[in-house]
Amino acid sequence: MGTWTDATNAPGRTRYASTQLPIQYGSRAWTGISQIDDTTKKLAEILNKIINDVGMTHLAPALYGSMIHKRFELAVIAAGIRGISAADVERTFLLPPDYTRSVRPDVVLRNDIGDIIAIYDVKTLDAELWPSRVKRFRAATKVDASVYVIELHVERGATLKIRQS
Amino acid sequence: MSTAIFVLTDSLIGSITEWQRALDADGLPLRLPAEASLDESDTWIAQLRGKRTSFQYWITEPRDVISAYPMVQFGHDWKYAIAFPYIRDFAELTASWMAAAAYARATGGVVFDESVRKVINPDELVEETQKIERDAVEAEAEFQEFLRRQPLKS
Repeated sequence: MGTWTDATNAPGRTRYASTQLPIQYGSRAWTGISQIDDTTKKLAEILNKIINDVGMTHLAPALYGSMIHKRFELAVIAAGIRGISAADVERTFLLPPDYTRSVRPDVVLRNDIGDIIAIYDVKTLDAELWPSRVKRFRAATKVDASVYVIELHVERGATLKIRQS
Repeated sequence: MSTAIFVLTDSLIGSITEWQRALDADGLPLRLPAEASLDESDTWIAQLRGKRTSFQYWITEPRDVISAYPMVQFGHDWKYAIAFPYIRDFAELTASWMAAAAYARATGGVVFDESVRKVINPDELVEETQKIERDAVEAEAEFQEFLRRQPLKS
């Protein structure tokens, strides 16, 4: 298990030790829909490998998060997962007029006829996928509450947690 | 990617000139587009140490930020929250931090970094931002090295 070795909690000099992480699938991580659950597992494994490859760093937390995201984006595209095209990774969706601006979920998963069936977002360290963000994701992608929003969360203590919001 | 830093403040900045003046006063090498309007598009093209970059920002509900992190001491119920989402590259991230730091210092606000759930006071902001810029150079070099190691695809 990775070990959190933050000596100062200073954003500029935080260190992260990450060996192979345990992946904790939350009790609500699974949907019972095989395409989504298979994809969740694949994305979790991709992310886990990236965290392992990035290893120890003294980068500021914001930069660590960006590093993870940039590698994740490339790896997901390279993996060629069914239902995820390159355009479904880090795509910007404009929000309806009663919201402000746009959102960019990390990955959207589509079924065989092209409808979005799940939205994935990677969070690192202490950031969270708030309820209002989940609402914005669904509004921007024009889906209803039946579409799953799944958080892949690299937590302090170097745990990768998968949960549904 | 939806991680962001937030300026929490009780007043909005009055003009681009005021914002640029705050950047200059702190020695932060970000040049805002002088011709832009504060009401315009959320993505701004800027110059970081003379190189073209961009950052995004928009005003959002402070209660969304504050209620999401009930364990964080935000000081008081701030009137405005301005989100600066992290975008794709490290220069953009650096530009976001500089823009947010100057905005907060110009308006008497603070910056909240949700990745560590830390409220950064005005006095600490310049140093934190300078660290980000230094680390960003290293992060970019690491990422380019990672790309070089990737197998070529036909």
